[in-house]
Amino acid sequence: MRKLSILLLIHFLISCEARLENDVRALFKTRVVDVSGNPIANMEVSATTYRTNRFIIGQELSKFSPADEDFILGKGITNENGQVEFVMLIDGSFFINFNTENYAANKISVSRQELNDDYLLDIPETVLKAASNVQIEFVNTSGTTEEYTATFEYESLDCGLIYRNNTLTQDEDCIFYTMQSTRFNSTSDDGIINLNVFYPSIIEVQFTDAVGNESIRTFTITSALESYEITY
Amino acid sequence: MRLPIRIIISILIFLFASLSFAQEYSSELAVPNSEQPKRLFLTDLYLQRGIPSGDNFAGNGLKGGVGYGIRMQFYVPKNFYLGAALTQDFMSVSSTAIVGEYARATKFNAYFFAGYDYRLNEDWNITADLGYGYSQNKNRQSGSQGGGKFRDSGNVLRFTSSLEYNFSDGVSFFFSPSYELVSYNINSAVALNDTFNKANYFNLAIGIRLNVRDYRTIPLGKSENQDLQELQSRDRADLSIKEKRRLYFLKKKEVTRQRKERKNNKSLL
Repeated sequence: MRKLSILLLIHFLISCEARLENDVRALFKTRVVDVSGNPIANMEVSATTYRTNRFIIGQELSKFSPADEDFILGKGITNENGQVEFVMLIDGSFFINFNTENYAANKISVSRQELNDDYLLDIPETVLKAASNVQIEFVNTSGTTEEYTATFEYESLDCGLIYRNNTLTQDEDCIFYTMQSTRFNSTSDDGIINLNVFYPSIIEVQFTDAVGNESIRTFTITSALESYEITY
Repeated sequence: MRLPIRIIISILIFLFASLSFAQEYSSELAVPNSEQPKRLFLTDLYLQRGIPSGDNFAGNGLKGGVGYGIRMQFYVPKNFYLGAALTQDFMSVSSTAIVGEYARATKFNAYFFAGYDYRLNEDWNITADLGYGYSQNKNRQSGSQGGGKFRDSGNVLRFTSSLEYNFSDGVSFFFSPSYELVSYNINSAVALNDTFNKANYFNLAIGIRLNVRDYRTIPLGKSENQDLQELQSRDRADLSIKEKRRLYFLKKKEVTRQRKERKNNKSLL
């Protein structure tokens, strides 16, 4: 009986109920436009929490459940003018998601403090960039056998937006994803690199040979699918 | 059907059945209805259908379901009564755009009340009372919404009426319309204040009322006196068990009445 009681006590102590904040309703509103300023209509916008936290090694961590099972705090559909407004539950910091294929990579991270005491999150305008798959191929025309190192600076899909102090900005701490480096020319088929980036944007490629000679190429991405060759 | 409702229905059926059988016996002893003893205490067990109403988050975004409740009240002079009640109602969300992203709400009320009981005739009573207490909606998301839980709490002001039919002194059946005004303590954006600061619920309930009455003040009726004399005149060995039991209760009732009468006379002197 005593063991059973201890087991029950431990069970009650460690079992945690997924709880949201009590006695609150917030209001979210924004107007969603593309980079040309055109409103994006009929798009589902949702607020979620504990979506995932990407750790430094790239693993996805969530508090209670997989990302697609985390709390939905609220959702709405943009009208013809791109405006959306919905009632929102609260559970600490949260994410604003844009649920269409082209713009799904856009995530806005919002701290709980941004709701203040007025329980209103009003982002006047949210500009969304679409996703592009860019292929960069290093082509060996010189016949060198030296191994090269390349670094790519680009707007990664893994870097979200942050809403802080009433301003929407890119996540400045997202260096790990925007400065990817790789080696090539160690085997015959390691020269093709695929990058998922927002567009319009610029990709800057720096590559260095074994001696230390450095070359830089810059590409302007303007469509959903692009490919480039770099000869060396 | 939810387990608590099944349990309540089972209890109601059991109580109703057992008390209906008991009625046959108690009717032999029952005093005429015109001399119905005063109620001391009663307990209500009921099922109710809650209907959210009004231009607010509950009226526009919640859909009522079946609930249940229990009330206990005791009587003070002149048919006034005081009591306490617990209710639980199960509701579903009909519009997440209005109430927020969750699927179910369970409304729990705990309140005190005061009211008046009026006897229409031998079989019918009506009651009306006003109650005030705590109200809480326990809200739950569906699995696809994340399965989160949270509460909306506030205070309830509830007007309850009932029309009651007496099966016997001990048991009655009642139909009870009631109306709740709940003021919620929900912190919300200014634009949402009017939607979330209050909600109204109209309820229709049916249930059974279990009465405890004061039999001490009721003198034996004419027929009971005749019964008592007849039973006392017969040889005890010839009496059936049923008759012995009746004799016992009639004697006890008469003794109690006489004791009370003596006490009253002493206090008057």
